[in-house]
Amino acid sequence: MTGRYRVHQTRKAAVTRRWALGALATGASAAFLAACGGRKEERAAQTPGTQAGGAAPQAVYLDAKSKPVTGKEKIEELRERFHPRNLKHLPGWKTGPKYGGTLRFPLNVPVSWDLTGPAASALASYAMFHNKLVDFEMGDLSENLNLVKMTGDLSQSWEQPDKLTFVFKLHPNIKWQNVPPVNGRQFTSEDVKYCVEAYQKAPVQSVIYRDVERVETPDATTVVFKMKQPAAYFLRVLMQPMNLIFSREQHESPQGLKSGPIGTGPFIYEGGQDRVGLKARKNSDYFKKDPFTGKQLPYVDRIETQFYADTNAAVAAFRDKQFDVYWPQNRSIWMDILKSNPEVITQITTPPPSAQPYFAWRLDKPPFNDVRVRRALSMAIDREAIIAGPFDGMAGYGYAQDQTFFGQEWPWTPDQLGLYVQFNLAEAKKLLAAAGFASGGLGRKIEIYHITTTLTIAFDTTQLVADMWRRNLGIDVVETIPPDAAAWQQKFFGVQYDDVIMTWYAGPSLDPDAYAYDPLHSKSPKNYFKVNDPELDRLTEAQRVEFDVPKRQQLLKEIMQRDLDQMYRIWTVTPYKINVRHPYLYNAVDQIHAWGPRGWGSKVCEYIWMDK
Amino acid sequence: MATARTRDDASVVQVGRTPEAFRAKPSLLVRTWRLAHRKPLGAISAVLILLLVLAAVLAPLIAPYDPNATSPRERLQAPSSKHWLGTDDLGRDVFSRIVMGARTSLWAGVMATICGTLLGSLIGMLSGYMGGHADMIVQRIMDSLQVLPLLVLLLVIVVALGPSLWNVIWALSLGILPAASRIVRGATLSVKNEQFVEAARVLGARPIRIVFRHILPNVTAPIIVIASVTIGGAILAEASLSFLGLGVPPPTPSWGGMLAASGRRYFERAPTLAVFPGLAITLTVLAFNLLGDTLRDVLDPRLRKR
Amino acid sequence: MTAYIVRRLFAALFVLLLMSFVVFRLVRWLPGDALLVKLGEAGRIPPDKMEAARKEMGIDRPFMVQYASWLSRAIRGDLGRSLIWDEGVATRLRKGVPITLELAILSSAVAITIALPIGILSAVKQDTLLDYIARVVAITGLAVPSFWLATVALLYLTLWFGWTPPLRYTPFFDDPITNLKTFILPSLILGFSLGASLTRMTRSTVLEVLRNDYVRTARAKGLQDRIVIARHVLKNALIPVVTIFGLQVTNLLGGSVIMESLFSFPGIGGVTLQAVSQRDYTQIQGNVLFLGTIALMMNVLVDISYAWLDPRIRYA
Repeated sequence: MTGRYRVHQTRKAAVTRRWALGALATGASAAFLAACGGRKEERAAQTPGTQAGGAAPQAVYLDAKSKPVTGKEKIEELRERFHPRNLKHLPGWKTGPKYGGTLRFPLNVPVSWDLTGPAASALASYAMFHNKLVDFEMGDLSENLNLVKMTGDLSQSWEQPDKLTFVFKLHPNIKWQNVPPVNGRQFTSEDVKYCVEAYQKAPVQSVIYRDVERVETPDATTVVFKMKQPAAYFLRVLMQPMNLIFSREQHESPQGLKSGPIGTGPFIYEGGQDRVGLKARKNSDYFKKDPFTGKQLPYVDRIETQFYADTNAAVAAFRDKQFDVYWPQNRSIWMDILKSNPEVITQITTPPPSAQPYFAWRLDKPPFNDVRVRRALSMAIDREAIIAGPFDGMAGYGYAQDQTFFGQEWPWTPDQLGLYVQFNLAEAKKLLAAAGFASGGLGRKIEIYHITTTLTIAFDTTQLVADMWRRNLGIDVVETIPPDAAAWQQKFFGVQYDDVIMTWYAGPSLDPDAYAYDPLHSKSPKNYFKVNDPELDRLTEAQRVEFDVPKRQQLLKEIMQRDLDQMYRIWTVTPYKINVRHPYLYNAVDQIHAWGPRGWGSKVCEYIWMDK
Repeated sequence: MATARTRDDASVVQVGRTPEAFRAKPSLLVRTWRLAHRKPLGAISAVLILLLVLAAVLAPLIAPYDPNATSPRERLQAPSSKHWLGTDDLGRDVFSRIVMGARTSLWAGVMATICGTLLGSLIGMLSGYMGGHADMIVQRIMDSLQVLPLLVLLLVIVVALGPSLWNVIWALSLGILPAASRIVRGATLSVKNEQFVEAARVLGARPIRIVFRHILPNVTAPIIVIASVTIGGAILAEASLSFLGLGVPPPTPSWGGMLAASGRRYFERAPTLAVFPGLAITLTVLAFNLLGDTLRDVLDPRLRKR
Repeated sequence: MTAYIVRRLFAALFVLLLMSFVVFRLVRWLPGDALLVKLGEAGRIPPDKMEAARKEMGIDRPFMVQYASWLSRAIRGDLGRSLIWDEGVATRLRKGVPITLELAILSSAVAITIALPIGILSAVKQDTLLDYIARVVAITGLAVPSFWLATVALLYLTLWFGWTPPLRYTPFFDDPITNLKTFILPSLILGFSLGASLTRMTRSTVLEVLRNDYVRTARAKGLQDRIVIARHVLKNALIPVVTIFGLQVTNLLGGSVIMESLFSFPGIGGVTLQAVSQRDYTQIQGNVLFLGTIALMMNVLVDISYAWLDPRIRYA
């Protein structure tokens, strides 16, 4: 590693050894998974370094009753106390999962159930009716939900005989749900082939399967992908929840997939209404067993979701136990809930790379085409103040690249992000002077376009940054708020913003490729930033085809260094995720890339059980 | 001395004193004072509004801090001697923001009312006087504006034009227009057939002259009443728009915006963030409504208490 | 009378046509479009796929073509399909009607129950303490922003009394008790707001009527106040009150957007707000047409009620 960046920075010496072991182990597992082959589902306890050092675990305080939460704790303390690895110590795990109950959580119905339509990315939040080839580990007993661990779903094992081939072996007795038009028939590899070919033409998923030449089905339980060129990202993106497998019969029926979600999944859809919610019942013929306990899935009998347009209403309903699990947007709301309901169980998860506030700016227009201006503006932002302010300490420095691919659990540290994320006003002014703005300001009004005000922490961050630029650098900043989300989408996705725009989206993806290639390659449709850097083009193309994990990590590190050095985007901070649930609920977890059971974690519904 | 008293005050004649009709009119000050006594609620509200306007005009002098200066580490503090009403979620001084917010809310409410009432009155007068097909078409257009759900109209206009102070004002004016035009048209219709208007017409006066010289003075009373009653509604509408995220953009403080942004989110931790802007809106609208009531009582002869 | 109604009908149709055209034009000035909304976080996809998707939604055609096509179907009663949702425009409207209707009925009931008795009493006992209190309370009801009141009420009910209304919509016929528990808070708040202006209007018109000569005569005849009010005053005083009430009901039927969003009611107001923010052009058109029709019908109803209330008013 070069002198400027250190890969791992640990704060406490006492944790270093265990930490390094864990990092090594997970890095090794990642390499093993990607390169050599598949394996059956494993028990969580096997991998070294993930248990509490092999000794008896320290006392676990997952609620506010056993040990109060004062509100003055630092994030380092909070993220260890409410770490997902502590969830296995909850009392219910002594006896194990029970069957029965109705799971309730806030979720509206999607605008369309058509997985091959333009609204498909939203359907990732409704994955409890289908299955996909591979998945990521979820549940209280998981090894470490702050990292990504691939598991099977429809497939039991997978291997990669050569750079252009992936082979998946399916479970032998998967059945479609017993509803028309599939009526409980046997699932075969032909179903996978049909789906993949349909997805290659779909607006949203086609990008995932762009390098697939063809799909072969040598027998009913084997699926073979033949690729056009090496695709190092492929396995990891297959884990993404929009790759749900649907049936030919439904797709070819007159209404198509719009008639509703029908799959092989743990729950059968009963119906739903916009702004009310949906209902589902258990699929008693579900093929899957719980990899941790060996019991038949799913555990709960029913799912009934609700919709709350207003945060206050949602919090009030959660307190009243009108539903079971909630995700407080910030520390304030979390503390309010703990005050009235100290018995709720909290999980704090590492921030995902895909959901953080950052700014895009017009790299093709003055003054932002001058790298000195960009560096100066970034150095004028006091990120520590932002973390202390609206995030109440529960945020890390932001950068949109998946740190867990490097075996790192917690967000990037300032050291890893380089010189220009440090708050240094003197240096910033020097840079601005060098760029020709010695008397302060940027010579004209600069417009910052907000993201919709409903994304409150992004809204706060934008206001703070605007004010910092005004006060610290004398820039005449004009803030514009979009009237609603669609107006903002037009500005950002249509690249129609004038100067600077706040955005929230990176990826989302389980593979670093979407955080490297998509925003930074000059020919990528998702390059909303007008980045045009031949060096980055070369590097991002190279990492795509590099299967050797350490080599790929090196390439990605170089991309990150260059991106940060050139400040192509302005990074701020990234918030930790908070999940609270009533104590009778188990397995309702978040993972780094998923909120469960909402969002990309909707699959976790099959593991959730209740002790009521 | 014996006095003959009937229910009609005007006809009281006290022996030995000059009949009221011949006495010199007391000064304006005395008349206002007497009026204030008779209508205490109106007087209080007038004083309140005066204070409000003063606060809005002198805001930069009164506000102890820059209302837009953020200080994230000092957020959500309770009222103290340093910050009289505490700080908001980004560390800004709430008192300064409320005082500056008076500017925004008052300006939005007053300008929207003036524009909407004036434009609506103009349309109503012209349409009512002209009559015939022109009148019918104009009225149908006004109807179609009024029949549209107000919030949808405001939404669409502000979304299409972008949220800014003047766009909000235009949108609100458009909402006030139809009602003002309808009322003024009604008044115009009843004045139109009076004899003095007929006379002016016979004498050859041009229609515009008739409208402005003869009709306008007689419909002023309803116009004033509409205006004073609508200001409160306009201020509330601006607050509602801000609540929906369509109001004045940051960092300009506006009471509705303060409610929507910080008041709602931190209600438990810092109730003052919601209480004070809400109180400010309520008191302002209250004052304007009371004033409007009083004006109507004073200007409408039929409601005078005997 | 029939000639009058027929004339009104024609005028109404003209108004609806004008309004639908204006709205059609207006919403196309809104930035962003339905495809971007559908794509959501998928953001931008390859341009050829975007064009294909827009073609399927029908939003790539010229403006007049789209309007003509919509109009020709709307005349036959077909409001088309939503651009965003996999449902018909009319279906989505229909699903919202019971909620909005229930909220409208309950709020109106609260408003009338407050307004009429207090307004009349306040007028009859003008300038007494009761009158002042009633006026101040009424004016406060007008001045307090209802969304603020709702937030405060919800929070303090939970914190101080430990009671939260069930915040998920249950249809009335499924479970009347839960349904009413859900509706009671917003109905009270809305009804209080509306009742405030109704009270003021009632008071001022009753005051006006009380001044009239025929009332003095009735009183001089020795009739009790109560009978005077019921028989002579009310019918005449009610005309302006009915006008305002009609306006309020029209607004309620349009769906109180803010209340519906605060309490997560899937009513018409919410559908309309959602349609605007999702750039669902066909849904917006359908909703606006529906709401416009209701408003016009209410106007006619109100005008007809004048004839019933005041026999002097006759429509030629």
